[in-house]
Amino acid sequence: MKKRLVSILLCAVLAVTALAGCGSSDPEEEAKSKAATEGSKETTSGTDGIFTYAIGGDTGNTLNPLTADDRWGLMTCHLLYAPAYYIYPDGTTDYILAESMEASEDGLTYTMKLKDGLKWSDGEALTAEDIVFTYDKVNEESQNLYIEGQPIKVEKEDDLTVKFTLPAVCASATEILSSEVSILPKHIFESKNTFDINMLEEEVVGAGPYMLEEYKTGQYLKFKKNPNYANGEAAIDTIVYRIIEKNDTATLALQNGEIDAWIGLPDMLEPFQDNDNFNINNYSEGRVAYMRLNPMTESMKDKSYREGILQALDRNEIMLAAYSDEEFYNIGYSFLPGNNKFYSEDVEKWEQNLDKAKELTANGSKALKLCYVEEDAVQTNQALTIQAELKEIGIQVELVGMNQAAYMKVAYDNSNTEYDIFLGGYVMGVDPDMYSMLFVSIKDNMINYSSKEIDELFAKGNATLDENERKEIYAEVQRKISEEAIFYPFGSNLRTLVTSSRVDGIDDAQLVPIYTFGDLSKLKLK
Amino acid sequence: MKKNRRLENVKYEFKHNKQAIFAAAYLIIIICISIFVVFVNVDPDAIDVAHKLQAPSGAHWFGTDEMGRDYLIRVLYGGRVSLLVGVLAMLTSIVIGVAVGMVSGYFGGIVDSILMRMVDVFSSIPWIIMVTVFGLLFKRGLFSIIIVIGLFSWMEIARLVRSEVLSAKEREYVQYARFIGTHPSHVMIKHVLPSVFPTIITAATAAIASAIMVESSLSFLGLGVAAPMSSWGSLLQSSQQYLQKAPYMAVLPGILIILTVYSFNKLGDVLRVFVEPKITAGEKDE
Amino acid sequence: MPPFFKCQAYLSGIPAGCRLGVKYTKVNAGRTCVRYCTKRRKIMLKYIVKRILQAIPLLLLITVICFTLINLAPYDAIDSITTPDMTQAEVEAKREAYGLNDPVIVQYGRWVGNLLQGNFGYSLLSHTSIKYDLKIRIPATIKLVLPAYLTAFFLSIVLGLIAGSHKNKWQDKLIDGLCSVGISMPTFWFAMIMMYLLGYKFKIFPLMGMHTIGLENSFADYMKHFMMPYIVLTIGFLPDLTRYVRGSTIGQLKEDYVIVQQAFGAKKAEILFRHVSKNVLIPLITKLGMALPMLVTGAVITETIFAWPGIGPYFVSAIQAMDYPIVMSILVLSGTLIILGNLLSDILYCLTDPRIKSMK
Repeated sequence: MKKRLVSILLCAVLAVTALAGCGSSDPEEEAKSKAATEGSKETTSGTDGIFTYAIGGDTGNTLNPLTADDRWGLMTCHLLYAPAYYIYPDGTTDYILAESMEASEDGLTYTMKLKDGLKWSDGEALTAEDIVFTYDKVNEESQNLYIEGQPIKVEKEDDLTVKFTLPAVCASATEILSSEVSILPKHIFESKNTFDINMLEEEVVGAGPYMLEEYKTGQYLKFKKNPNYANGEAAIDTIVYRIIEKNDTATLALQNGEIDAWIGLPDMLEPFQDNDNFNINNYSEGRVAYMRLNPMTESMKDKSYREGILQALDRNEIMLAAYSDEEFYNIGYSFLPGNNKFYSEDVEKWEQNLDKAKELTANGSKALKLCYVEEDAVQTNQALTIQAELKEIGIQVELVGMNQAAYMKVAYDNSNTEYDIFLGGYVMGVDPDMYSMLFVSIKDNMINYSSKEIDELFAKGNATLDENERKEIYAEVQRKISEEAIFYPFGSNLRTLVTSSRVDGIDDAQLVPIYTFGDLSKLKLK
Repeated sequence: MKKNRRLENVKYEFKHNKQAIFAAAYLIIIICISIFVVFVNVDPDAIDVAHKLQAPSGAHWFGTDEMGRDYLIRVLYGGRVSLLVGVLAMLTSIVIGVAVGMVSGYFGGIVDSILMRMVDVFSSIPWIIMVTVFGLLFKRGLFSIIIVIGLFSWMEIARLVRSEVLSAKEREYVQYARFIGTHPSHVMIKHVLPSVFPTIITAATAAIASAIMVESSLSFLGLGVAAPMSSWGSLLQSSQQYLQKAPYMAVLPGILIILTVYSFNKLGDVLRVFVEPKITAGEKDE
Repeated sequence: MPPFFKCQAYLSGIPAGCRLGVKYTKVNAGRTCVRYCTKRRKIMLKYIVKRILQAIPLLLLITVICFTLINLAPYDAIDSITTPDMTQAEVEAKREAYGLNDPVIVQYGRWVGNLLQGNFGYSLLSHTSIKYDLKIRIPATIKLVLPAYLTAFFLSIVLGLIAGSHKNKWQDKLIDGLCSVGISMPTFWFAMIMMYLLGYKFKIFPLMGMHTIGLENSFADYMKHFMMPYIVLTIGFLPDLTRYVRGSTIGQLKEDYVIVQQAFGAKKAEILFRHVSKNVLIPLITKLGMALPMLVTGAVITETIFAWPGIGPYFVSAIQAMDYPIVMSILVLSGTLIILGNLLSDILYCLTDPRIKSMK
């Protein structure tokens, strides 16, 4: 009897370990060796020469450098690819692949000269062919580089010179030609019929400061430095973007030394303040946080109803709920961030007026659906505040939170009629024409407007180089947009980067919108 | 008389078993609080963003949460929700389980086979998976959680009831009633049901306990009650972020869940004494 | 021929289903009493085959339910194959190519066929093959759940036997009390507290993941990451198993053979470990069979909290992103495992317990 029992137990154990063993032969799993490690004594991230940065979401297995528009995808592209040149928020230009970019007298022709001896990360030469290829593909893909309906023409003059011919004068030309444009290798993509790169299987060839070493779905992206980087090899050998979705885990990990940098929430900064082991860096992204009403749904078709909804809201309360302390945000009334030189407060502010709000919404829907990104604690608080404020005028708001990828799918679908309200935020850049992508019906139109007047005004504003004229035009645009009662900005917020004291060179790398670090090759570890 | 003996046993348990006394007392207290908290003049949903995350003070006995709401009141209202979900989900699963078990045990034959196969199939899927999948198909809210939890916990009860019915079916008074031609539903409700009743009571307490656990797990995963309503599970979920700053935010709902589930389980144990006198016979021999 | 009554001496210990008979053999000059148990073996085999055949329609039923749910769900299967860049014509072409315009029955047949080949479809959000993801994630979960369950299993035997044999004394009160509290404690709460205390306050273990990046080869590093979720899971499995063993032990101790052994003067420990444990272990082994699906779904919440890269976080984020193909694949997988687990435990029970009389 005992023998039977033992043998059966053994069989069961064997069967199960066989099951487990089947999986272990997967090449992703390393064999567990009993080798002792010295690094395990310290609680730093493995070994020296690795900088670990916590990111709040996963890029997914597919990276598309042409169409990436979520923060994590863009951050990854920023490491792997380089634009020809990069314009910092204060206006200075960092020439990466290009040596110079000059405009002609009439502003209709721009000439880009490339640096000599440029190489891709796989060793192939980077020439004007790749530049032309990239911009041609951008024009095929979308109308973001179109001026008055015509694309900007890109021609190769010789191996190191590219000529850009504009159909009309465009004030924001240098910015739109470099913003979020990753120069793509022609020799890799011309035979593929898609720009989707499977990060698990394919090698990524780019001209950025780092190369992709490894990607583990849902866990991390590991990069090693690119020896062929145009501005010189990076100081840090390895960078890891660690995917940590929960903020409470991230803050504990930073304190333990498991990660080196993290974007912190204002509520959670206590352990790092007055602490020599950490540095807190507050910087402006020029990011505008907003709420938009979906004009496609039944309840939102009536303009006066929309006005009523906006009159019920109180920006101050919403931003305070989100950011806890006034030092982390600025109230704003327009689609431009407050520090933009074209920002105008001569707009319809929709100050809170509960009586008027009740009056205007009396005949409309009493139940609305609000969509936001659940992982974002800031948006969660904003959503809860809006829900409470609308409750005051008798409207029930159902909060539907979803993760970043699902949100993008729903929010960018302009024909979606399921959600009445969307929360969001954007970082568009310096020139006000960069914001046209939000409102112009023939471009991306992320806010879902459809007004010919606004389209025309944006086109006009971009067609002149005279600053005063532009100021007038954009003031009118801001006013018109606010009057439509579709777009309701809260203001702009500062971002807080908390780093451990071993991270150095942040001033050289510069803190920038979206990517956090402008030039990661300049980061150093002490 | 059998009945008296069972009651005697229950009374004995309550008087001497310290844990049973504690469980009963705790449940009475928490139920009373849940009913009467509505009369307290504090709104659990009233946000006050200027005073977020304050430490416990005279004005707010357990401080405020991340939207400035009074935490103690939210926990007590959360208790209402958790208990409500527990009881209603239990009722749902009891109703379905008893119905299926009765019909299956009473009629036997093919009806029994089919129903029991259905029970097998439904039990074959891990609850966490089925519950979350159905949660996707229904709109989020209190009603759908109750239905979802109820729909996936009736199987055990059906099995228990069925085996009780199988043995009750053989009793003389039941056979007599069938013999004289009483309508089956009449027989089931008037004669079989009372003898199955003790089992149902025990199963009910266990069902409440498990429903509360399931609801808190669901809320913790973000699939439970919708904001701004709070339940103990959802409070735990939002307290994770503030574990460093305000650990009591995690401790309070957790302890309440443990005490409540423990008390219901203990209650069930005691009531089992009522159901099966044979057990007490063994226990009292020591 | 020896008289039949002489073979009566063999009667004790003959399992049901066996017959006593006489057979001529070469040993002992041709005559000896033997037991015929071929009938029993036949019964067992018939039972096992019957159970396997019963399980197959259940499996099919699970696939039908899952397929129905997929089609009821508000998503278009084409979304998981196409990207937003494609034109309407391309989308239509893909639709034809993947057979999404075929009648439902044909689609079902194809889906089941795919499943059998191991092709689970593609994720809606990341467009990757689900099979690939599962191949990475399932071993990770098994590596966590298996040791935890086995530890809980053996610990529960020890604790349960002790509790059962010292009924109503302090050992029993302590163990039973702890189990009652343990059952009432939500796993995630315990995990949170553990993470806070051990991971942060006392800094004994790292907080998340399976490895420190760069140290994937280090066993010591893996163990450090493994410890906390392992402890949480073991404590999660323990109370239920211990109560089961305890109840079983108490039940066994009332049986006649215990009294007989006591009458023979056997010591308590001997009774416990030689006789009672056998009868307690047998139903417990069948519980092992039911634990088969745990290898995939037993640690969803724990893995999510500790960011252990197993099925748990994968499933939870699929639910939150409404990524139906992933959800359905895991559904089919776990349903299948449960049925197989039930089958396994029934078979084990039949093999180990010689007292099975009726094959119900």
